[in-house]
Amino acid sequence: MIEAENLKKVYPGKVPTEALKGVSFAIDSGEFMAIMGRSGSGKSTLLHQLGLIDTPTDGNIVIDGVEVLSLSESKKTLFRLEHLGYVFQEYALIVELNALQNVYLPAFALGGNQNGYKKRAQEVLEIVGLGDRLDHYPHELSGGEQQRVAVARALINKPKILFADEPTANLDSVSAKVVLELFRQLNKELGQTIVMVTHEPEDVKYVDRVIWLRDGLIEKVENQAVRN
Amino acid sequence: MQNLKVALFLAFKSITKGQKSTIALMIFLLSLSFVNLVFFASILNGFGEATQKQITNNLTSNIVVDPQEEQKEAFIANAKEVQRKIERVPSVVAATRRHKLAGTISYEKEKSAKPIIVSAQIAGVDPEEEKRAIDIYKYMVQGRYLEGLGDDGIILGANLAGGYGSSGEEFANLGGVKAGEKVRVTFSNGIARTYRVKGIFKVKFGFTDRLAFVSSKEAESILSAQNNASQILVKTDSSRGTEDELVKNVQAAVPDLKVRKWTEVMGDFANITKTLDTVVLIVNTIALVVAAITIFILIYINAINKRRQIGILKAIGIGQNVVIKSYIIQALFYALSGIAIGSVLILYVVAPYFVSHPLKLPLGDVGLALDIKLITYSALGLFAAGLVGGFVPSWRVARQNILKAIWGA
Ligand SMILES: Nc1ncnc2c1ncn2[C@@H]1O[C@H](COP(=O)(O)OP(=O)(O)OP(=O)(O)O)[C@@H](O)[C@H]1O
Ligand SMILES: [Mg+2]
Repeated sequence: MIEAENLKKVYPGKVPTEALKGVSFAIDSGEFMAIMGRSGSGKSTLLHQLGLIDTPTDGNIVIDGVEVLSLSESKKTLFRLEHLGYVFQEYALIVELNALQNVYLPAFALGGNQNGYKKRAQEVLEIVGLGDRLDHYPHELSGGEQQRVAVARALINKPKILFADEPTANLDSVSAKVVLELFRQLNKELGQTIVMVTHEPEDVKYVDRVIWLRDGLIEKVENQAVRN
Repeated sequence: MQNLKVALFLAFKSITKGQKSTIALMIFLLSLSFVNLVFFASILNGFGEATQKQITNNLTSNIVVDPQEEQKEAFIANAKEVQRKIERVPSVVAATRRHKLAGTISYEKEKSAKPIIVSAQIAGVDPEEEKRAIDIYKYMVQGRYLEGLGDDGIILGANLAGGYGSSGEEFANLGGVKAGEKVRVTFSNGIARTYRVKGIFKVKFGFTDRLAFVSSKEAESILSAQNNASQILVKTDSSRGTEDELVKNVQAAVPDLKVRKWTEVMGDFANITKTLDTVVLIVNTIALVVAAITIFILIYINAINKRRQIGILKAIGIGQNVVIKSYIIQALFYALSGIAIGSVLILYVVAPYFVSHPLKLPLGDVGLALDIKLITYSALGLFAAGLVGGFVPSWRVARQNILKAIWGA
C-alpha cells in the first residue's frame, strides 16, 4: 500500500535540520502501523511526507502504485482528498461548520449527490459514537469528541490510508481509549489501513507493527504478533 | 462547478458564522466608500450643471450669433429678418436680438452727496422677445421687468445696484439703488440720459447680475440705428440633437454671421465643467483605490486570522482555488452589501438632504446631480475593487505551505 524509499527531509534554515536521514519501509494494505520514537526523532516529519502535506528533500513514495511525489500540487491535493485521511494532533476542525458539515466537507468537495454524502457523514459520525452531536459546533464539543469528528472527517471519502499524528495526545485516558478502540475497530472490521504516530508505549497493543525512529533513521521495526 | 459550490458553502458559513461586529464594520466601511464615490462625483456634477444652467438660461443662452469680425461694421443688419430665419431652424426655441451698449451709470444717493459712478454693460432688448430666450425676468427682486418696446425705464442687476446681499458685491456697485429711483447713464458715444429704475434682478450669478437693460427702441435711439443688432442669442432645445449639430444648422441658416456655442463664448469659464470632470475622475480613482485597499486589508486580516483553518482545509484536500474563490465570494458579498446600503444612503438620506439644504454658492443653489450612469459606474468600480481586494490576499495566504499555515512560520 505504501512504499517509502530512502526518504530524506532537511528543513532549511541558518542551521539546516536533517529531520529524516534516509528512511525506507513498506506498509501493507489493511495494516495498523505505529510510528514511535523519542521527541524530535522525526515522527511527525515522516507522517507529513507520507500524507503529502509536505515534500521530502529526497527519496520516493509510492502509494497504491502511484508515484505521488511526481504529481502536481493540485493533483496532490486531489489525491489527498480522494485517497488519504489525516488526523492532526490538535483539534483541527473548521470552527464555522458543525460536526456534520465538518465531516461531509471532503465528500462535498469530491462531488456527488448531496443526500448521499450527508447520509454517509451521519453514518460515519455514528460509527465514531457521535450520532447525537451532528449539529454541534466545534466549541460545543469536548476535546475527545472533536478528535472523533476529525477521525470521521478523515474517513468520509473511504481513504486508502488513515494517517493520525498523536491523535490522543491532548485527550484524557478515557477519551484516548475511545479513539484507539475506534481505530482498532476500523482496522479489524473494515480493513482500514492506518498509520499512527504515538509516543505512548501503551498504544502498541492496538497495532500490528511498530516503526521505531531515532534521529531521523529507523532504529527497528517490531511485529506485535503477540496481539490476539 | 463543484469547486464553486464548495467555495460558496465555505463563504456563506464564514459570513453567517463569523464575527458579526467585524462583518458589520466591513460593510459599513464599504458603504461609506460607495457614498463617498457617488457623492463627490454628483456634487461636482451638480456644480457643473448649475454653472451651465446659469449661463444658458440667464447669460448667453445656448448659441450666440455675432457679426463676422472681419467686417467693419459691428452690427447684424436686418436683424429682425435674421432673427426670424434663425427661429425657423428646427430645435431653436427662441432667438433674441440685443444691442450692446457700454457706459457709466451714476446715482446720487443723497441730493448733496457726490454721485457714485460705475461703468456697466447695458443691453437693449425687446422685452417680449427677450423673455422667450432669457430667464432674467423670473428673478426680479424689486420692481418689474421691462414692459414692451415703449418702456423708458432701466433694470439693473443686483450686483450693480448694490445692497441686495449678493456675493458679487465686493465689486464696484451703485451703493443701493432701489426701484423707482433715478440714475443717469452716460453712453460711450457721449449721449447721456436719465432713467427711472424699473426693477432690480438677481439671478445669483456674478456675470449676469452686473448687467443692465433698456428697451431696444431706446437703444436704437441712442445709437441712431434701425433694425440692426449687436448680437442674437439663441435658445435651443438641447434634448433634440447635440449642441454641435444645432450650431451647424444655425450657421447654415445665417452663413454670413459668426455662430458659436455658449462654451466658446464663455471660454475658460465654461471649461470649469470640463475641469470638474477631470477632478471627478481623479477623486473617484483615489476613492476606488482606497476602497480596494480597505477590502484588501480587511480580507487580508480575515485570511491571516484564518491561516490555520486554511491550512487545515488544504490538508484535508480542499484545493487552494476553492479557498481563494471562497474569499473572493466573501469580498464580493461585502462589496455588494456596501453598494446596496450605500445606494440606500445616497438615495434616501444624502440626496433628500441636499434637496432641502442645497449648497448656496455664488452661482446659485447647487444640489446633487445623481445619474444612473454614475451610480452604475461607482458600483462596478467598487465591485472590481472587491474582486481585486478579495483575490490578492487570499491568494497570498492560500498558496502558503500547509505546515506553515497550520503552525505558523
Ligand atoms: N518546520 C521546521 N523547521 C525546522 N526544523 C524542524 C521543523 N519541523 C521540525 N523540525 C525539526 O525536525 C526534527 C524532527 O521533528 P518532528 O516534529 O518530526 O519530531 P517528532 O518526532 O514528531 O517529535 P514530537 O514527539 O516532539 O512531536 C526536530 O529536531 C525538529 O526540531
Ligand atoms: Mg510530532
